[in-house]
Amino acid sequence: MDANAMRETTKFESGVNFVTRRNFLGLLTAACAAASIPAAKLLGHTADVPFERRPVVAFHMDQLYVDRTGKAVPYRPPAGYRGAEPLAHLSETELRMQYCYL
Amino acid sequence: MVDFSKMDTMKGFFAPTRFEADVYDCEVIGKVPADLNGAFVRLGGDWLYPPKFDDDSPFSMDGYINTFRFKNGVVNYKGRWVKTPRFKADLAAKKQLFGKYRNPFTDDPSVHGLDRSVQNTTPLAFAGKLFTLKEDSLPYEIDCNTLETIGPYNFHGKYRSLTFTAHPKVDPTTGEMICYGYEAEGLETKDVFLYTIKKNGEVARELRFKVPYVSMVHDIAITQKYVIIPIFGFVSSMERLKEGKVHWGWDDTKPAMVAIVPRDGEAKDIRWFKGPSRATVHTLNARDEGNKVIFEAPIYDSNPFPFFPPIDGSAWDPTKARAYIRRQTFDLNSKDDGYTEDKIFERNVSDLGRVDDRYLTQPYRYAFTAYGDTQRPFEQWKAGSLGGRVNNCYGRFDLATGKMNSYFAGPTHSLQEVCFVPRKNGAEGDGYVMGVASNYAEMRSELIIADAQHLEDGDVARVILPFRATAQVHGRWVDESELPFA
Repeated sequence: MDANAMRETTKFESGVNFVTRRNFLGLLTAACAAASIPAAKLLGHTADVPFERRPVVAFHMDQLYVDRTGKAVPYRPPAGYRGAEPLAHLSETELRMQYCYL
Repeated sequence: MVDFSKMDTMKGFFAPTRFEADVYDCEVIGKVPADLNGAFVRLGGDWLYPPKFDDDSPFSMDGYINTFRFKNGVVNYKGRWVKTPRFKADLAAKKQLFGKYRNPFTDDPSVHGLDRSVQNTTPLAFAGKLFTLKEDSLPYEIDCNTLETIGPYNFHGKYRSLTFTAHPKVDPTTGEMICYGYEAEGLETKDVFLYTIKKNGEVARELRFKVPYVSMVHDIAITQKYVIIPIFGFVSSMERLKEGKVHWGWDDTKPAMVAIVPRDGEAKDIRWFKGPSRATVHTLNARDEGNKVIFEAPIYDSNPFPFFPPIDGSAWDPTKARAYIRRQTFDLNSKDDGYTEDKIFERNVSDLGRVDDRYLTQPYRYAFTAYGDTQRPFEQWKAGSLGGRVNNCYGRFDLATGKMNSYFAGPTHSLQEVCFVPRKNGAEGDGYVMGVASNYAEMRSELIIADAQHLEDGDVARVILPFRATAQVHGRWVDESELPFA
């Protein structure tokens, strides 16, 4: 096991260890290097055997998500920050109260 | 403790930024035209502290001036707060001490008598100095290189109005500035002081007159002979202020009124014309044609601002808050007070329009402004949704032919006010369209520069800021010959 990755494991007061995205990728890379397997293959980025079910590994809100059945769709982050979305629900009056000129 | 979490509108791309910044040698996509030497100066507002009242106007936001300084193809960015007495008082108290827009009765008693202006509307370069303008106070002088605030300016004591417009006009044939202050003698006074200031900054002329009712006089237009001064349904009173209300309310029963003031005349020579209820917040241009005055502007059907609500208690109507480029004709030979009005383009547009300023007072052909085109793509999955409420295009409106050419900023962008930058010695409309785009997908601001005669070709350069720049109200291109730039 990569010693640096171990140090980056976050230990919360509850005593539960959470694996962050950064140190998981470190662990995965180290493990793959040892086993001579491309890391991208484990993350589902390749599909050379279309009908083979493999564990789905993804991240959401910086938390690791694993579905061992292989039936889930891995989460892919959006391509943009969606900066306008927090104001989407505002009525025209509510929006223009602050932004008469967007 | 600074807490904006209760303001629904201060989130995402629109969250306050509140920092001062310098970016040297900005990232550029494309190539900055070599003939652009000077600065694009922007002025707008951001809240240093949240407003005291939820229903206050955004016009109370603290002023923030920023420049894109162009020199030999390189662009540097600088942004600074305008450090008014109000800004300093709030910062010292660590909270918002000032109440509603132009209503000192709603202030904390500790700031009674302090200059309560926020300098957040228009930058001005004149007589070798850089100013910020806000219509409720004197101009503030700014160091054009450091952007630090010097202080209020009264043109060597000869400018006597207590207030100064956000939209003075410089006559390109003489270099004179026509400017004014309304509520010139103090809150709720009907006095307007109209000035001519020589290009060296010397006050040459003052004309005092009264308006029929206290109203917003935000912008004017000039011809070679006249000053055109529109007033409209925004009303105010001392009683209203004492009741703790924001300065303006909207009275739909008020006619739009337009003063035609001779530039070399007296108050008795002023002609007042009346028309249907409108809101002419910003203007484009005007000219003399014989004994007629032709005036063009993006004019709203009615009240554009919900934070200045109807005084009859009715709800603000967003369907009437639409601006169209219109022409108003005033016949000075007429015996009545009517005028004619024509809608020149059917597309509703941003009322922050511009022309080639070298053609102010003269016959001209092109107007530029932003507008929203819902037929253009908008990638919600990247940018989030604003329900189509974006200005994604700049248009060049040909007043001679009725045709329009457009620049599209991109599928995750909304454009702020346009600015036209003429090419030296070029004909009317030969130059660049410039303005800041908000990129909601990348959470950053981008200064776009497009060839004004080839808008469909897209931008020639895009200056990238690695952050969200404070939104501007108005921006101006300042050639390097106009200010003592380092």
